Amino acid sequence: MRKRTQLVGFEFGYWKHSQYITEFLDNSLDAIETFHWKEIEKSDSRNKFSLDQETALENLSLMQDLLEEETFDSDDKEELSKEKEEEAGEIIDKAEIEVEEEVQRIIDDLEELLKPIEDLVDIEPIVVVRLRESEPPSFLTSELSQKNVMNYTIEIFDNGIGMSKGDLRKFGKYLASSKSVELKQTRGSQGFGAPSAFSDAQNTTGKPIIVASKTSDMVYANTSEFFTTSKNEKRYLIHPVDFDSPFGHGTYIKLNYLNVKYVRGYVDTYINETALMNPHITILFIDPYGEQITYPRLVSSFPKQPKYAKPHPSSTNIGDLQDLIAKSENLTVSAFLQENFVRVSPKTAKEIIIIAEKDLQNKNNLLILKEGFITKSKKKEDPIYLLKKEKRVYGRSEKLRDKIIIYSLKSDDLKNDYWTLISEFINKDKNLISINKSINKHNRRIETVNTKKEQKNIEKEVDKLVKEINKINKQNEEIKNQIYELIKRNESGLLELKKFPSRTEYEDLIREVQISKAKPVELSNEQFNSLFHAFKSIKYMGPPTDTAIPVGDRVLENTLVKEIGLKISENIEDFDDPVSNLVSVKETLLKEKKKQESLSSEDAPLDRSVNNSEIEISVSRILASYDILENNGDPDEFNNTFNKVFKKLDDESGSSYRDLLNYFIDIHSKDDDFASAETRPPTSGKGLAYVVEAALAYCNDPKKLDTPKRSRDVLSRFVNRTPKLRDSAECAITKAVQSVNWKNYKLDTFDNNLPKGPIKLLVNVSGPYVHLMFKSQSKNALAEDEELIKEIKYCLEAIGRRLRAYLNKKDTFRKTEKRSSVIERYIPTFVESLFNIAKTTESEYKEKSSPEELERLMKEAIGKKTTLKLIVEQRTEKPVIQKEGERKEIPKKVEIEWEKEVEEAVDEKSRTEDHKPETETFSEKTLLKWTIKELLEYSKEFDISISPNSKKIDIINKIQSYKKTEAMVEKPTIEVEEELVKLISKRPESLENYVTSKESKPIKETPPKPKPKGIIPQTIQTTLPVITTDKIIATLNNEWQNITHLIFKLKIKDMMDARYLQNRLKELVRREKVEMLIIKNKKHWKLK
Amino acid sequence: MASKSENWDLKATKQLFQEYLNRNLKEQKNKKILPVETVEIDDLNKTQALKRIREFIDSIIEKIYKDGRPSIFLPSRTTGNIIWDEENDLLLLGKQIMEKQFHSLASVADITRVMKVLEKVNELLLKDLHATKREIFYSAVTLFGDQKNSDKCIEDVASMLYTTRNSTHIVASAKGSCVGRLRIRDRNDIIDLEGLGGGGWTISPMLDNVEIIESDAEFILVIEKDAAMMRLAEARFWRKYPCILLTAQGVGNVAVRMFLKRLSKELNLPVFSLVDSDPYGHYIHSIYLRGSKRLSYESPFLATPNIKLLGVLTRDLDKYKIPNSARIPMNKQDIKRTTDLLNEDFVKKNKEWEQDLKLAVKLKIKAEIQAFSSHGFEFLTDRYLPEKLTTGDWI
Repeated sequence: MRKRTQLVGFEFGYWKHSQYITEFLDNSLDAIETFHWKEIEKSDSRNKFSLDQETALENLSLMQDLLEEETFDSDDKEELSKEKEEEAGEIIDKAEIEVEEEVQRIIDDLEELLKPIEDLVDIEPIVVVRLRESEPPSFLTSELSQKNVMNYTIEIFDNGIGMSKGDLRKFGKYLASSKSVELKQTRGSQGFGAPSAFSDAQNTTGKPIIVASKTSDMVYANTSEFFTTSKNEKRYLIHPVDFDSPFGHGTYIKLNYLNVKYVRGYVDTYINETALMNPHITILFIDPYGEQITYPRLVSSFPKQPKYAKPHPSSTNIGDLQDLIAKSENLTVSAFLQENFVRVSPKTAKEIIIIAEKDLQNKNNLLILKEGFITKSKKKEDPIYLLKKEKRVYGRSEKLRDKIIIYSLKSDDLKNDYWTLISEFINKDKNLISINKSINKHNRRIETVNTKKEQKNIEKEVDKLVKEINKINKQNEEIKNQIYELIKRNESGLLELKKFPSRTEYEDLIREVQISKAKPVELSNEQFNSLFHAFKSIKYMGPPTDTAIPVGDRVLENTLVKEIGLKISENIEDFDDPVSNLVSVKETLLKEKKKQESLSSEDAPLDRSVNNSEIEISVSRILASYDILENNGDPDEFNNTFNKVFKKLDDESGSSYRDLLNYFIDIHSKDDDFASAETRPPTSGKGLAYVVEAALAYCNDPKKLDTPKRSRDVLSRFVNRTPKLRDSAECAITKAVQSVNWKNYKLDTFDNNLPKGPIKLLVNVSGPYVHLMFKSQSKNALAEDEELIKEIKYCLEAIGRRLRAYLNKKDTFRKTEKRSSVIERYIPTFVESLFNIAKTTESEYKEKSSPEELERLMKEAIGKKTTLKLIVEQRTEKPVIQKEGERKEIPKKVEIEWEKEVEEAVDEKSRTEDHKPETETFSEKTLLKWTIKELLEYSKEFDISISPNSKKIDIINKIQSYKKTEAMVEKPTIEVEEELVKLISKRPESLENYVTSKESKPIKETPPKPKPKGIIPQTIQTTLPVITTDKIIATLNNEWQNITHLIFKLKIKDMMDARYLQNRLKELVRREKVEMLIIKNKKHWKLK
Repeated sequence: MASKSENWDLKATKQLFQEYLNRNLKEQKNKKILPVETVEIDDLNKTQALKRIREFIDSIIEKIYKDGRPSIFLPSRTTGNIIWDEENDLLLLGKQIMEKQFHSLASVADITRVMKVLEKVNELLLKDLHATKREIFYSAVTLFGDQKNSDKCIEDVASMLYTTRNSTHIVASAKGSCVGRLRIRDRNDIIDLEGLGGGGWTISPMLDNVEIIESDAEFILVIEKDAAMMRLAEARFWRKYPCILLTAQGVGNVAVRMFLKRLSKELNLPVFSLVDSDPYGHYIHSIYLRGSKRLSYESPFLATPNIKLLGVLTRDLDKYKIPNSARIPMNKQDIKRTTDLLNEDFVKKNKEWEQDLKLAVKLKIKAEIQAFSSHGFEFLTDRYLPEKLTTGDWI
């Protein structure tokens, strides 16, 4: 058997394990995707994956452990039987009985492997990979035995499209891959991988390869056991046999290979990264230590099917063209070009052919004229022939038929005229050659030039030369026409050569020159070369970009979040509207509003509508609140606060409502991790269309994601979703990542300028022709390309900007937190001193207050001014103070001032209606929360003395500050201040009454227009756990329901939530609140 | 020399004394009026101070009940808020108000310390005791961290209550001494300052316990340096020329300045200062004259606006032929300080003083009081002082 391992180099070493995995895992993923895409195109598909089920894989590992031992046994048997054959010296087809036994063994193997997932095998896109260590082979050479070499069995199953019998027969041969026919954005591409692996496997162990496969159209699966041979043929030990398979469609491959001992860090990394980029497929991996790693499917949809992409001329090399031409069935070259390449229009095809023909004419010294051909003689003495097709009767037929007639130019005049023309033509051609040379020179210079300006200059020159070429070409055409005219005019000077010795030679020449008339398959070598040069010399439009399908930034983000377990508050827009909730909330809101209005003013119209989007947000908030409730363990307090505020949601321009939102946002997103992905729009350069995407996760929990010690662990490179683990330093992706200035984005870097921190960075390059972008055949590193590096850099910088914003925000939070802790530390000392004084002096608070109370009040005031609690506390506490204040006399001055203002305000109101909304809609509470600056600005806007609300506070502030300066000298400020506060709290009613009695319209009706502190940000973040235990119990009833029912009822669309639900259900069963029963392999639940 | 000294009759000083006596009779009627834009500071007695504290505490608690965010307001003591009252020749505080919030990282420590000091002040007032700044610092070392902080808070408390520091019963440590023709009562002890030998009476910081009984002095002499004081005390200067001698050993602290103020106010005597002929000496003089910037709000209670700078003036160096060996060249810092002084309003107003400082800058020379000992140790007491006092050679 010839060693063919060189094609895809398989060498002993840790990498070899992952090489095997790479070859087959990629194929499997492709197969699954192909199946899915095929199925979803059918309108009545029954076999397609149902992507809504939960992946019940928890029990898998347990069962697997039990099975493990058995499999080893069967394996040993197998080995024994094989070794016997080995001894026999020659591999012969097995007797029928033996074949039956062997097939049974394969089926048993397969069933063992699939048993744990038998429920899922037809509905869940799944790949199972099992790698096992078997006994070290006895025939080891001394060279190998030193290396701690073991025998490994790899089994891989996927429930993809499967192979038909015919395909199966081809499988294992080189270039039998589907991808060499149709070039799509797929993982593998050339069909070398699997055959190379087979070859290595049988070369190292001498054991056959077992393949079983079934498409959804087949009733039985087909299996065979074979060797591949050096003639690219298969030698069967078991010829393809039908059998009943435990799976509906898919492929199973089992082979043995020899390699150094398996260690972790290669295969598992590869599978892990594959799972990251392919979250739409469940991957199960059982490593040689028996450990099972599960990567459940994380998304409920597949990526878009990539379009079939025709090759682009710029990225086509001569071999490709040759292959295509050999296979083509087109009748003309023009049709062939148009059909097989993208961006080749009829016009460009014609252009290509003209160029090719011109080349051929020069080479063969035969010029094509309008009618006929003429030789291009180089010397004056040479005979000149004119070849022409004419209708003649010749041969046996009596009809007129085309015949090539050869004339020679006889008359000297004609010859001379011809000569003058043809010499001009030849001169022009010579010019052309020199011009082409200088163009090449310029092109070479461009590459060495540094500045853009110089580059442009050269380009300009080249353009000039190209124009000149075109001109010359036209002139030459003109000359040819002139020759044609010349001959037509002097037909008498022609002499028909009836018996011409080299007639066939000239006939061949005609065929050679006329590429446009030739069949592509029949092109001669010279023609092909000319065609290829012409094909490459033309400028084409870039390839269409719709053939490159990215994974998608959303998918990447989610995968990162789920895979690492980041704590990320989701965007509120992502939240699926719980319709029923919305409706009920809306109703409550309306009811609440009506109630309030009927209380406040009887004749007010009741048709106030509730803003839909506001409710939506509020509902999300409510749900978010439950999360806080569970997390912070302070449910009662929170619930109370929440209820209070929610009831007041309607009043006072919804300011309290907004406070609530802000409060949640703050509470919620403060220790968020960060995940962001960016997908660039597809680009096409140099004949390749590709799309670049990147994702970055930043984790605050070192248990989940710590700063890697090695720089290469930070970055994961992918090409068409396939992880690339080797040659990272040479890859264009690495270079691009290094070119980003990460310090700008608040990230530290390693010495090689890769970012450093608790981060994970993924970069994926997808496109139909990426295999052409690799540096070498090993397909591990992308070649450096300016355009590609720029794309990746832009992509990373976009993410970097987001990261910086996030890190900045985090810093601010940390500072705030530090501040509160510092302030909190001082509170007891402060209060102690304060209260000690109060105790010994005749303070009015001596009896009423306690240090604990003061401390509590101050602690609550820490943090943001607008916290929810603060507002609520204020509401409950205030009356007490006010009562105390009542005893004091209201300073007269202030009272008068107040009355005056009311009058002024009302006057103003009746005069200018426009000002009303602004002036009226602010509650005193809102205003109290305003900073003085804002108030001042506001009052400036509305001419201070007019708007009563802001004015009031403004005055308070002024009086406060003013009084403070004098207070200590004369009178106590506090009394004044307190009375003012009291007055404000009274004011709205009085004012309202006053106004409503005067005007028919209630002021309250005016919408809340000016927003005190910015509108609610569009991208409010919050986690939205839909499921609570209460909710689950509410959904359950006395009928048996399975998980899909529950998922439907709870409107879960996220796998994580579904898993959460599952766990909750388990817990409920344990607590005996819920009954569980397995019906048809599925768990069903009902209430007890 | 001794025979010569008999001739000095202190004519000029006596004249000035007479003048003061006459003026005082008139001045008794019209009280001092402070400019409008300044903050008024009261000297409070115990009960008044306690009342103010109570009011303040109430306001704080009220604020806590209102929004849980207490803050205190006090007059700003930055340079921008210090106003020179031309009429009375005093530095006073303007009306800029500073807010210290509890819920701000910048001031939370400050406000807590202020509250601590206030607590101590309250205690002192209640028990009618006095404490030094140092004692206050040690009452809560961890909170204050550094005595600088507690000193600052003590001043904050005083200004916050719009009163003098003395009214808060926090006193500076005693540093000055006094000797001469004066009899006082410290609580129950009657002390005759003439009979205390050379050391004199250490000025008590608890001046509210001190009562001035009588004196037949004709002027008061404030001396910068203890050494010069010893010289005068040894010569029993006050026997020959009826006077009271006072020293603070450097910059006059609150107790010394307050005592001086009381002496000059109650006894109505001309006050002279004898300082080194260097910018620092002139600065010390200016402290007595119009108060320090830091305690500017207390200026009316600490400053002695009618103090005269007797010496050593720059022009005296040539006049009394101080040898070059006793003259010290000014360094850069000295020159800078002198020019700084020249920029002060109160210096600009006093032409003679300005001239003398300009002369100093021109000659770039300074000298200490001890420079006179180059003419013999008795020169200061027998010739220099009497001559100046007689001829009225002061600024």
